[in-house]
Amino acid sequence: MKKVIKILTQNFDRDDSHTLETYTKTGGYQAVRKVLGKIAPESVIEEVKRSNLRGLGGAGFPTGMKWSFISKPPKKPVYLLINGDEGEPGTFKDRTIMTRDPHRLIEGVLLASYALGAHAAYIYVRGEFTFCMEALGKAIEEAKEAGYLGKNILKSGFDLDVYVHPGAGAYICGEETALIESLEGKPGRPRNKPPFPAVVGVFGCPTIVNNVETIAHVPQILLNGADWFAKIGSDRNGGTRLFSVSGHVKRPGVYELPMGTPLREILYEHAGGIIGDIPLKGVIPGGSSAPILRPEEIDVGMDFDQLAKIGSMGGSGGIIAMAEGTCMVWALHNLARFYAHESCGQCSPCREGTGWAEKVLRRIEGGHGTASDIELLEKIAKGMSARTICPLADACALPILSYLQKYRDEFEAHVREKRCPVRPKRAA
Amino acid sequence: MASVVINGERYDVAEGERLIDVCDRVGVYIPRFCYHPNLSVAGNCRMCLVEIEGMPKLQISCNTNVRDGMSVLTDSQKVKEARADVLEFIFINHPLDCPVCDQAGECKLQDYYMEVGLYKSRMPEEFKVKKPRKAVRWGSGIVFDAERCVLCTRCVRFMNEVVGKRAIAVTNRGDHEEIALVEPLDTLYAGNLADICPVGALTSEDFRFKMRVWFLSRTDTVCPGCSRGCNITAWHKDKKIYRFTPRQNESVNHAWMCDIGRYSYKEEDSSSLILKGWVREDSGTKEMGTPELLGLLAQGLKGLKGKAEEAPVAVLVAPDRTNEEMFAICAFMAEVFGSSRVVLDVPAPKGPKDDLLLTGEMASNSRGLSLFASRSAKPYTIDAFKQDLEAGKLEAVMLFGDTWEGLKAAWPGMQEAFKALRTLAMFTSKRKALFSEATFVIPSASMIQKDGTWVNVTGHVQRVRKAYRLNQDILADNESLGLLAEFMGESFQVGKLEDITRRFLEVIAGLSGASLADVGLEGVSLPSEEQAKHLEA
Amino acid sequence: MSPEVLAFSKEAQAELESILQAYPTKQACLLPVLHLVQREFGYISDPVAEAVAGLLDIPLAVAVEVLTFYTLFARRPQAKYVIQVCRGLSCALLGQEELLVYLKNRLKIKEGEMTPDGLFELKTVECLGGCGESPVVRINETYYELQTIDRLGSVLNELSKGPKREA
Repeated sequence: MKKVIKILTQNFDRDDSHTLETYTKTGGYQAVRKVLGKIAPESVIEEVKRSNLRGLGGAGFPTGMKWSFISKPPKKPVYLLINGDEGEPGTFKDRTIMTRDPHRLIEGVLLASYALGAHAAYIYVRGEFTFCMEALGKAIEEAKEAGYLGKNILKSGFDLDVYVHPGAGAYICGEETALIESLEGKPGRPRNKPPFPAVVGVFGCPTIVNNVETIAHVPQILLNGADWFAKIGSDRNGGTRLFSVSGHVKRPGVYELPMGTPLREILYEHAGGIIGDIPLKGVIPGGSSAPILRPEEIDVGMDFDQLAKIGSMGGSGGIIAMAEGTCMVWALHNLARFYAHESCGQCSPCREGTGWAEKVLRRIEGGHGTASDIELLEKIAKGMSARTICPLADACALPILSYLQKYRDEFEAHVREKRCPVRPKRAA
Repeated sequence: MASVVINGERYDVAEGERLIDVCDRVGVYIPRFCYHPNLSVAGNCRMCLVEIEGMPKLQISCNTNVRDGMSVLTDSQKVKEARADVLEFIFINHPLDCPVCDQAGECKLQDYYMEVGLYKSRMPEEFKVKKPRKAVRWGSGIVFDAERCVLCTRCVRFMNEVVGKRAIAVTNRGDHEEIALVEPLDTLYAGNLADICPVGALTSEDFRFKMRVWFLSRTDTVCPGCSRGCNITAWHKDKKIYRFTPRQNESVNHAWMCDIGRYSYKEEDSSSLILKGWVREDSGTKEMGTPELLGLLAQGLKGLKGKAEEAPVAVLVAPDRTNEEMFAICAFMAEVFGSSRVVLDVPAPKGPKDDLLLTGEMASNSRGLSLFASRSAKPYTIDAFKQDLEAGKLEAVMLFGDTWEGLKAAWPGMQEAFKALRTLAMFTSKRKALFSEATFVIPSASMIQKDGTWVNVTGHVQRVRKAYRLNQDILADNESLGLLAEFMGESFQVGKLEDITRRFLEVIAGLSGASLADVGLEGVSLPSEEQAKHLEA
Repeated sequence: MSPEVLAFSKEAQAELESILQAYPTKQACLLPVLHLVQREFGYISDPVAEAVAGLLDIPLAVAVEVLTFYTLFARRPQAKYVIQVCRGLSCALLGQEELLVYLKNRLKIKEGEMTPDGLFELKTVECLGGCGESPVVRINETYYELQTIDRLGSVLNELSKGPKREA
């Protein structure tokens, strides 16, 4: 096993990791003291740019570059929104930061707000995660009392208020413009772009939306320097990231590992290999939207660029392992049902396509499909790709196309045998 | 200015203009459901996707602003495939009920299907999402059918943005998304919902199942309801109007009209109109053809010529007459009787007024009449007429038009006063406008039966167009006056309609040489200094 | 000032005040206020929805859109315990389907139904974000992770002991 580098999870083994005391004792709020009022916001952005920090919610967009889209000086108030609407199937990492080290997130929010010139930040937490909202609420109170939030923070003259905003059960609100709509008190239907949020975001003001994990990285980047962070990761993918590992592995959980760690190492070393030591059948490397990988593809380095190179994606870092004996039609139907349920309903290809795909898959999986259904499924997936306002339709289409490509024989067997050949007697 | 290339053709356009608007203007076809030029961009139907050079994904042309040097393909294979795919998605949960759907013939879904589709449905009926709300009466004349809706949200945006009332909500999500009426529509603009709905989800209760649209002829004209003069299309067949719908005119009504105007087509029904005139004799009224009637009237009028210093004849023009009719009436009086006793300030009835279209002035040409009156050195007012009538200076009065409610309200004793007259000739279209005191009734052409112009509240001159004439006895007032002069043995000639328009425009606006053709489909605005002068007056 | 139907407890009133101060627009308060109202009254009835719209000075249509878009808002009375079985892929891979069959048999209800005594309601939900401890069942706001039929059985036994409905 390689050298262990822990940035985000360094305090996770302590029971009191969530307290202000533990956080400050272990170097917490040092970056704020170093930066606030002492380093120019532009230099902070520059530092984050050089660190190669990428958006860890799923898109992998360079964070520093995103921050630089806010025009200076801003004509209206700038808002920072933190995306804690963790909902991509197979992803459960942001919740660990929010509950076990909320001050790391708050310090990151403070630093990012300073860099952006924002004086109000909202942490949007998925509605089911009431325990995260409680933990964050307490931490915000602690930070306020200690003078890390509010007016004239650490006598720097910088003001910031941080609020927790509850989602209410809609995966799509993880998309940044849907999140903005939702925060404004509307259904989470993504906006047409342009205008981009950095120009017209929440409440009509310039807005930056960053993922929880992304922002939690910022304090250590500014404390230890961009070079330190960039060196930990792989080419153009700075630092570590939290990989959520689930499915048929012996030790599921959240693993903080450097960007570019091979998938094989994550599955077989950190997560302990496949339950019952049976062979791996397929693995989703970056949340349910990521095209699936076959066992022979798992030597890939887990960063945005290397995964893109082999036709998949880094996404949210959610890894779902599936052992031999798993029906891939059934698995894909499970995902398609999810996207059909979560489509906001706005764009016709997504509204109609996700539901249609789900129905065709249900038919095939139930042994009622025909050979033309496989072609139809492919056509539906292609038909809704790259034709909608937001990427939800693509997130449904990508797995469909990859499962069809990589496990086509299994789809054909379902149609031929008029039943599921893998798990003929599963629970109804 | 920006230069864009669309399908290889170069066009000069304004930088930042919407690509879909540019395409519409230059005649490049772009299908769409959700886009409407008078509503905000929703970008949800995805039918208007086009290929833009340098962009890997297809872009929706409704949310694309043109930039200089942009190169666009609207008919590439990639675009055509995308359209066909998007259309199929929209269709899968849509019922195939065109034979019983009232939108048939003007349904975008049907049009696009004929164009790109003609494929067999790949969605078995039992798999369709069921939306059971059918033929739900929404009130205000609108009927809703959930399963036909394509969720374009035009209706939602119309209510939010134009009417300013969020009555319609988009409920649920995914393929269970539906629009729902949350509060009563309760607006005088509800009829527009049926117009802008691109499919058969919102239809007009009034028009439903009356007539397939492809049997109807269209005449582009102007709404007679109020002084806004919304541009409309009259839909008719066999000399019967089935509906009015608004025509887009950015200088007047954008793409809308109010329901008062919309349903005023019913007043054009032959059952509401005077089809044959009559004269009152001692034994009662006697119907006769218009030439005979005018001959009788001419005899009476002839005797009044030179009877006093000024002949005891006066004319009232209702604020619904065309400029051409008014011009002919004034010319007739001046040349035949040497008289200026033509009242042009008959008040319009009051009605609803709002910030959108309704002006509160329920007559179509008050402005045309007042502009013309303001060109006269000494206009003959309603007060002067009243005095002459009371002083017994008048023996014959001719009334032209239908819109007398405003005058009746302002002068309750009017009809009583008319009883003193020997001759009261009404050149009128509508039965309901007749006074029992009338001694002559000459059937006058209603707005749908004549050509001419009106001037709207903002000083916009617009064309009224003839769709048909119900019978030969019905005449526009300029036509009947020509006959009347002839029967009186006068040399007065009314002249051709185009000439009257030209002379009228010259008089009121100094627009020399302007013709009916110049007024065109969208009308012309009078020069602003003229408007200013009018406002002073 | 809340209308009659929004008769809040003192704590809820205080929470409402702090929500109203957290946003620059009243409409932005809608989601947090609806959560608050649901905690207070158990569900969001039509009159309550109207009152919330009035309180926040927004059209009723906006409230209706939001209530029907998000899955966490209940528009009718709910059981004392709403059992939400996660059917996300990770849970499905590790026995969620068996748990659901068990629950249906034990409670003698189908998905979306409530037991006649109003104690339990059974739902399947999309990924709850607890995939590391699959399969996950959420009951009201509590996550029960690494569930087996035995464990879930004891949880239900425990919950069945209390009063049927909250006083």
